[in-house]
Amino acid sequence: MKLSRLLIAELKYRPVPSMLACLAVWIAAACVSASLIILADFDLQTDSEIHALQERAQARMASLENEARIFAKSLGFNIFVYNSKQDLGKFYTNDTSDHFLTMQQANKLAESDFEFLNHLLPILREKYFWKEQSMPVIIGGIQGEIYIKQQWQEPMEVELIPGEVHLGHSIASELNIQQGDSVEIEGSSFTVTNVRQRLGTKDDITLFMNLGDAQQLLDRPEQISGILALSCNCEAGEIEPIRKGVKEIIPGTDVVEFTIRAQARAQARKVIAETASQELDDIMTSRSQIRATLSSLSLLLSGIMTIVCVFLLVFLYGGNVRERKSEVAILSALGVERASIHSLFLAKALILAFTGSICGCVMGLAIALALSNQAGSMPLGSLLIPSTGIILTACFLSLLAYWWPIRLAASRDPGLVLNEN
Amino acid sequence: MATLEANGICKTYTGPDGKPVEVLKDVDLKLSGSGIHAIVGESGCGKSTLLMICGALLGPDSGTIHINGNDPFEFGDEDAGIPRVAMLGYVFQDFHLIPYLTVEENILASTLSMNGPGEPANCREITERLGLGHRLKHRPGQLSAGEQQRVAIARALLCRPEVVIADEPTGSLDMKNGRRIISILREYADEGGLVLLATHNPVVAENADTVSTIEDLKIVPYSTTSQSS
Repeated sequence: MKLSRLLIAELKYRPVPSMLACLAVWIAAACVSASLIILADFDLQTDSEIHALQERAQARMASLENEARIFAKSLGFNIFVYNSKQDLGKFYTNDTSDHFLTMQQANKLAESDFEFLNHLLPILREKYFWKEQSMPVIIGGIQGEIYIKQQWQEPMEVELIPGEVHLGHSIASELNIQQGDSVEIEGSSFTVTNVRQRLGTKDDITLFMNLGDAQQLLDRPEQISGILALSCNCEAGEIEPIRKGVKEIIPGTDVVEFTIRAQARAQARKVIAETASQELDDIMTSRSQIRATLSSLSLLLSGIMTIVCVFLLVFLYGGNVRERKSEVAILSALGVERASIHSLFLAKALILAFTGSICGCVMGLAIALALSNQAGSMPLGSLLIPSTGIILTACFLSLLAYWWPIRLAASRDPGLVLNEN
Repeated sequence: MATLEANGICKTYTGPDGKPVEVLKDVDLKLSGSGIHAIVGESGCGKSTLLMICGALLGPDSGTIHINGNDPFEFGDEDAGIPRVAMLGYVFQDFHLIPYLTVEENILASTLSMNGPGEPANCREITERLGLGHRLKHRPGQLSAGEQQRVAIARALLCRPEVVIADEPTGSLDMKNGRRIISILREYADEGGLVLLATHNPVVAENADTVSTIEDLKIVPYSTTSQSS
């Protein structure tokens, strides 16, 4: 006679406790399986939603960037054309050029067919000590606008005629000079035709005069510090074609874009990117919170069900072994080794747990299919891996629940057990 | 030729009040050859304890047991070297059949420790001899006490052990069934087997070849004097 025959008879005998044990595993496995599959379904569903949101946000960002580019393009570029030998840092620090452009170069640029240019303003800028007032100022020689060939532009700068000056706000305040007053500079008289508003820039300490007067005062005949080219437009919305075109027309020059405009464009792009990113982050945060809540609930439910199941198994198996201890003793008296007795009962535990967990996983899948949207379209691996884990865990716990009582029962002297009965 | 040898067996139980109850003290027993050896005595004198120790169902506090020179506590399944069922058969007063197995399966349960294939050839023969041929598919609950004891004896004898130990084999039976059980054991002894049984039934003791009793925790040869005292 083989142990397998005894095992079959054992399973048939008093089936209620065995069925209860199987049912406990079944229900626990169904709950754990359903919660895991629903959780995986949530991941799958939210992943696809987030992916769609990401795509929409990226498209929106690209669209906004394009709009910003078009907007910036319509604003045009404000650039400063200067002698390429000039160290810009020194120019900004000293407010004085070491290397100059000439008016001929400015006129050449104006007369060119370069289509991106709109407004050209040659300037001469230099630090100057105003002896009559014992005051350091910056001389800003401006001509007004050079009219560009074949174009008419709305003037962007007031044209100063010789003999007139505009005073920066700080100069006028300190010297108590008002519009209409006359001032002496190097022995020449100039009429103050405008006191400029406070700007909080170096313009507040600048004395603006006609470019020719400035060149004469500073002894810079025909020389200018550079050319302001305002609102330059370019189809591509990029500065490089403008820089290249200017350099070709007047070699030996360099072009720099006013940083404020460039920063504004970069800032616009950054804000757009950050807005899109923030929106996604918010969604991800919200999703993580929901996921964490679901995960906690799932863990709690699975944990409680597993613990209840293990307790039930320990109770049922313990009771079963207590009822059957005389049979264990008889088997021992018949010379059946302890290992064989263990294997008989553990095989029973394994069969019950395996059957229960398989049924539980199938039921869990059915529950998940009924409750969720995409469980049916989940990849097979997503269903098989948790199910395999559940089955293995159920078998392991079932073996563990049977192992201790059967070990105790089989280790006792059969004579003592049979005497007790 | 079978031998059963017990030397210096001591056994003490813990009583219900927690105090030790000495049952056997330095008990020596030596049996050899074939035949029936009966141990008689009053209930609680230690007969069953001695038999269970001899049958390796209960460990002694001290002393040794040897069957054919081997320690029966070392017997096990075939992998253990000496299969217990080939050396030793045990018959309980309360039969101790497995309730969910049929008569046939209960008898064959003694071969669980044998890894060999199939059923022993003498299974059918022994069930016929014991008058159980028509009860093979019945469960113990469907049998009379006498039939259950015969199943227990069939289970013990199936693998033709060297020694059969029977603890009050007729204790739960009526006279007729008791005689039948004794005749079965006698047949086994006549075929060369060694039977050690415990009984308080004088009829059973009369059928034994030798009789001992337990007095003052020790085993002594039985005599009418010792019985009366």
